[in-house]
Amino acid sequence: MSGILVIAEHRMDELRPVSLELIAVAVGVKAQASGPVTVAIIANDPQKYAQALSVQGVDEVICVKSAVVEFDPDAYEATVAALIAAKNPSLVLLPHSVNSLAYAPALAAKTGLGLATDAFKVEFDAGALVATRGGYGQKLNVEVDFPGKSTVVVTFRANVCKPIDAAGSPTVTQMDAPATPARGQHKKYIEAAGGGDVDIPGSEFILSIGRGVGEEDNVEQFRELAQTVGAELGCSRPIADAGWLPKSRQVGQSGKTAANCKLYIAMGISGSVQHMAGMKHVENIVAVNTDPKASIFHIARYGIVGDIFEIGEELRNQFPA
Amino acid sequence: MKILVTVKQVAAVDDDFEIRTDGRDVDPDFLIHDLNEWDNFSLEEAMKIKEAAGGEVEVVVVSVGPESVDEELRKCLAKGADRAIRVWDDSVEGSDPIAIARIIAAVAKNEAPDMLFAGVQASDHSYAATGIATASFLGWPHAAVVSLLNYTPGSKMATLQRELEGGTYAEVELECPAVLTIQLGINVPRYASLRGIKQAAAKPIDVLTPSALGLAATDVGEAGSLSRVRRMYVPAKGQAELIEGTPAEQVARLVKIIQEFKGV
Amino acid sequence: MMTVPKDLSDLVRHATEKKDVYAAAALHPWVNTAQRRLLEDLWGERRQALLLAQMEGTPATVLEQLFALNDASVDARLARHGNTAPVVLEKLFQRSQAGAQRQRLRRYLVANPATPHKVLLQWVETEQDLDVLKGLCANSGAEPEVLGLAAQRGIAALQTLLAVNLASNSAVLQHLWAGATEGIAAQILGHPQCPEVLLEAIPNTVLQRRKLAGNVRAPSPVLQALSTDQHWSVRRAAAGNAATAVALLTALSRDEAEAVRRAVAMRPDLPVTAAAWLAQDDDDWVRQVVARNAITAPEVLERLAQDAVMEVRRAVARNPACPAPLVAALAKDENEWVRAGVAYRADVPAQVLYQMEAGETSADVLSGIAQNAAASQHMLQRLVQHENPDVRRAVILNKMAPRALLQNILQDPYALHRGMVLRHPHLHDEDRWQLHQDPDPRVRFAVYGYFGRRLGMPKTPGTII
Repeated sequence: MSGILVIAEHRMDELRPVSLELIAVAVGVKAQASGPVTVAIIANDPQKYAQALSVQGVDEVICVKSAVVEFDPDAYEATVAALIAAKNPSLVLLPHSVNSLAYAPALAAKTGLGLATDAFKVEFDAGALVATRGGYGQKLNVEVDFPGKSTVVVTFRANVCKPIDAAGSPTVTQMDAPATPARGQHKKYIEAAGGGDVDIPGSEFILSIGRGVGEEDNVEQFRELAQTVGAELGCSRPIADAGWLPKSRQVGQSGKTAANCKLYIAMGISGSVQHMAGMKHVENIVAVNTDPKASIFHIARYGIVGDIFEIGEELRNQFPA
Repeated sequence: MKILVTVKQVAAVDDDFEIRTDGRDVDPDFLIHDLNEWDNFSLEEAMKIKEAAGGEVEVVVVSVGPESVDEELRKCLAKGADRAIRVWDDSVEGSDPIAIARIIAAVAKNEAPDMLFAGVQASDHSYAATGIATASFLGWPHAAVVSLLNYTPGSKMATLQRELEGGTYAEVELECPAVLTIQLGINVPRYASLRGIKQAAAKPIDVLTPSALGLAATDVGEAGSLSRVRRMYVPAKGQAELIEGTPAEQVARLVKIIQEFKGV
Repeated sequence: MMTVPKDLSDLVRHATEKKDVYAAAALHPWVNTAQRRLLEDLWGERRQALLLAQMEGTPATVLEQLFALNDASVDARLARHGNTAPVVLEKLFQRSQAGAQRQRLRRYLVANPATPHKVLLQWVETEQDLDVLKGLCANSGAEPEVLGLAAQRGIAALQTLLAVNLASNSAVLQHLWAGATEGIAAQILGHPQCPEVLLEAIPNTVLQRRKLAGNVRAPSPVLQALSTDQHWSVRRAAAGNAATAVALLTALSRDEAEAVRRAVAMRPDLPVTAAAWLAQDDDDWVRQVVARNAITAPEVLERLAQDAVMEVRRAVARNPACPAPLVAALAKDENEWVRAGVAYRADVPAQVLYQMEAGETSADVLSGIAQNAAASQHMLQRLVQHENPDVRRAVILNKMAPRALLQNILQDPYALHRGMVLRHPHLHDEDRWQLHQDPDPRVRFAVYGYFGRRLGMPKTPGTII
C-alpha cells in the first residue's frame, strides 16, 4: 500500500475548484506516503478535464469513462472501489462535498477501509495516517487514526489548501468504469430561485440584526447595508415580533433555518437559544456585539466586540462598490 | 407501512471545558445534551408522510446510546412517533459512525421499514456518515442531503431534490426502500404539545443490546470501527478569531472575509 | 385544580420534591438560610454547578454559593457571569493570585464591567499578561483613573482599545494623542470625550475628517467646512451629525452623493422644503427615509403613499405623523408588508383594524392586528388559535388581551410562548402556577422566580416579573 489516490469532482461540465485543492493536499504529503499521486476523474467524457488536473507533483491522471453522465452514488462507489483495487493507495482523498457524502461512507463500510470525513489536515505519523477534523461544533480539533487499516478514505474540506498553479506532465491513462445497475436516476439540475422574494433557507450569505438596533428607524440603515454587501437580511425574533421586519426574515425556532448559509453576520444579536437553533450550524459566523459576554460569541468563528452602528457605517464606507 | 427515523443525542460544549484525563474526549460534566437539530427535520418529514397517508404509517425512532438518550427519544415520541428503540451496552462504547451504522442496519433488518430517514449530519461531530453507511449495510439505494421529498407510502419510487453546493439542486428519482439523509429546512418541524409530552411518558422505548440483534463483539465498539479518536485538543489559535483594532481596522478584516466568501 | 403555594416553604417543598434544579435556583434568593441549604442539595453534582454558573439569569446568591465550591472551571464561569456580585468578583481576584487557572480567571475578571474599581487598580500597574491588560482596557465599566494608568504603561497594543473605550476621558485621550497612529487619532476625534483642542483643526485624512464630522462636539465652523468636504463619506457623517446647523441641510439635501442625501433625509430638523425636494429623489432609499420622517408635510406623504416602490409606501405607513385618511388608505394597500405597517400602528382605529382582518392571510398583518391594543376581543379570539405561532405570540404581546384568551397560551406547544405569557399582567397567579411542572426548564425557572419574588417581597404585590 503506497501512494495517494485523489478523486476529482466536476459538475455541469466544469471541474470543481476543490479538486485542485485536494491535489495540493496530496502533493503535500506525497513524500510521507512514499508513493505516487494518482488523480482520477470519473465522467462520461473524462478527457476534457485531464489537462486541468495535470499539475506539478501529479504522477498519473486516470480518465475513467463512465456510462453514467451525471453523479450517481452507486456508480461512483463501484468505480472508486475498482480504482482502489487497481492502485492500492494508502490514502484516498475525496472532497468533503455533497456528492462524496452520498457514497464515501458506503464505500468504506462495504470494503472495511479506514474513514474520516470533513478533515482539514492529514499527515503520516510513523507511517500511519492521522487525520484532523473538528469536534463539538468545531470547538476542538480531533485527531483520528486508523489502527489496522492500510487504506484510508478521507473526505477533505474545501478552502483549506491553496491549489498548485504550476503545470506538470503526468501520464494520462484511460479506464472504463465498472457497470452498475441503476437504482436511481438524475433528472435535472435546478438553480435556486432568485428574484425579489425573501429566501432565508436558500441564501448563502445572511446579514442579521437583533435587539441591538434599538429602534425601528434604525432598521433602514441595516436593510441598506445588507443590500450594499449583497446579503439577504435576516433578524432575530424580537425584531419580527415588533413588526420591524417581516416574519419571512426571522431566523430561528418558529422562524426560518439558514439551511444553505455559508456566511452569517449577526449584528446586535445576543444569541438566544431560539435564534441560534436556526443558524448555529453555519460554518462562518461573524458576531458583532457590544457585550463581549453575549452567547453569540460562543458559536461565532469571528467576533467583533463593538458598536453595530459604528461597524455598520464603516462597512458601508469601506465596502467596494 | 413503516418509516424508521434515526436520531442522535448530541453534545455541545460551552467555553471553559476540561478535556478528559486520557485526552481523547471532553470531560462529560461539561457536555450539554440535546436532540440533534437535523433529526427534528427528518422526524417531521416522516410525520408529514404519516399524516398525509391518514395514519396507515408507523413512525419508529431509533438511537444508539446510553440511558440518557431516552430523553431525546421521548421528545420524538411527544411529537408523534409511535415507538422508540434504543440500542446500548458497554461494548458500544468507542464506536465510530460506521459501527453505529452497523447497529442501526441490524435494527432496520428486524423492523423492515419501507423507508429510513437520517439527519445529514449531527451538530456535534459533523461526520455525515452514519446514514449512508447504514444504507450500505442494508444494500439499499440512498441519497444524501435531501432538501425536498415526494414520496407516497408503498410506492416503488421517490422523487427528491438534493441540495448541492452553491445554490444548485439535483432532482433525482430513487427506488424504494431507500435511505435518505435529510437536510435542515426541508420542512418546518413541529413542537410537541403538552398533551403529547404527557402521552410520550407512557409510550414504550425498547432497549436492545447489540448481541440481541445478532451482532458480534467485533462488529461494534473500536473493533467494529473504521477510525479511532486519538486525541482531542483546543487549537492553539482557537477556531474563533477575535477581530481586534479600531472599527475601521476591524471592518477591513470583515470586508476580506466577505470577499473570500464571494470568491473575489 | 392545583392550589397556588401560600408561602415560601410551600414553594421550597415543591421544588425539592420534584428535585427541580431550575426551580431551586430561581427560589434561592428569596428564602432563608435553612431553606437555601435544602435547595443547594439539588445542585450537588459538578455538572449541575457548571450548568448554573453558565446559565443566563442565575441569581447572584446562587453564584455566590457556587463560589464556595472552589472549583477552577466553575470560577472561570463565575468571573464572566453578568450576575456575579462585585464582592464575589473581588474574592475571585484573591483566588486568582495562585492556582493553575489564574491567567484565565484574570482575563475574565478584568473584562467584567462589575469588577470593583479597587481590584482593577491593584492590577493595572503591575500585570504582565497582555491579554489581561487588553481585557481591562476594553472594559466599559472601568474608571478613567484605571484606564489612564493603563495608557501610561505605553503598550502599543493597548492604545487602540483605550481610544475605542467610551469610558476613557479626555485626559486619557489626550495622553493617547501623542504618538497616536492615523487610525487611533481618528478614533479619538470621534470619541465623545475628545479633548476640546483637538476638535478645532481640520485633519488631513478622510478617516479622521469622517470621524470628526460625526462628533456632536465638533465646533460649528468645523462642521460647516466638513459639510462641503470633497469626500462623500465625510459629508455623510456631517449630514448625520445632530450638531450640524439646520442652515447647512438644504445644501446637503442636494448633494450629488446618494449616501449623503439618505443621511440628511433622516434628520428630525430637516427643513420642510428640503423634505419636499428629497421626496422626489430618484434614489428610493432617500424617498423611504423621508417618507418615514415625521416632519414631512402631509401632502408630500400623500404623494409618497402612491410610490411604485413598496418600501416607500411602507415607510409612509410607519410615519408617526401619517394622517388618518392616509392610514386608512394604506390599510388597503396591495402589498402585505405595507398593510402590516398599518396594523402595527398604535393610532389605527378599531374599525380599520376590523376591516383589515377580514380575509387577511398574511402572518405579518395578522400579527400586527393581534398585538394592537385596539383589536376587538372577537378578533383576538380567532387569532389566539391561529396555526401560525407568530400570530399567537402577538396576542401575548397585546397589553389588552384578556385573561380568558391568555389561558389558551398556557397549553401552547411552543415553550417560549408559555414563558412569555407568564409576564402578562392580566393573568392570575393560579394560571401561572399551572406551569410549575412545565417540561421546559426555562419556563419553570420563570414560574418559581415569579412566585419567589411574590411571596418573598409581600410589600410589593402585583409586581410582574
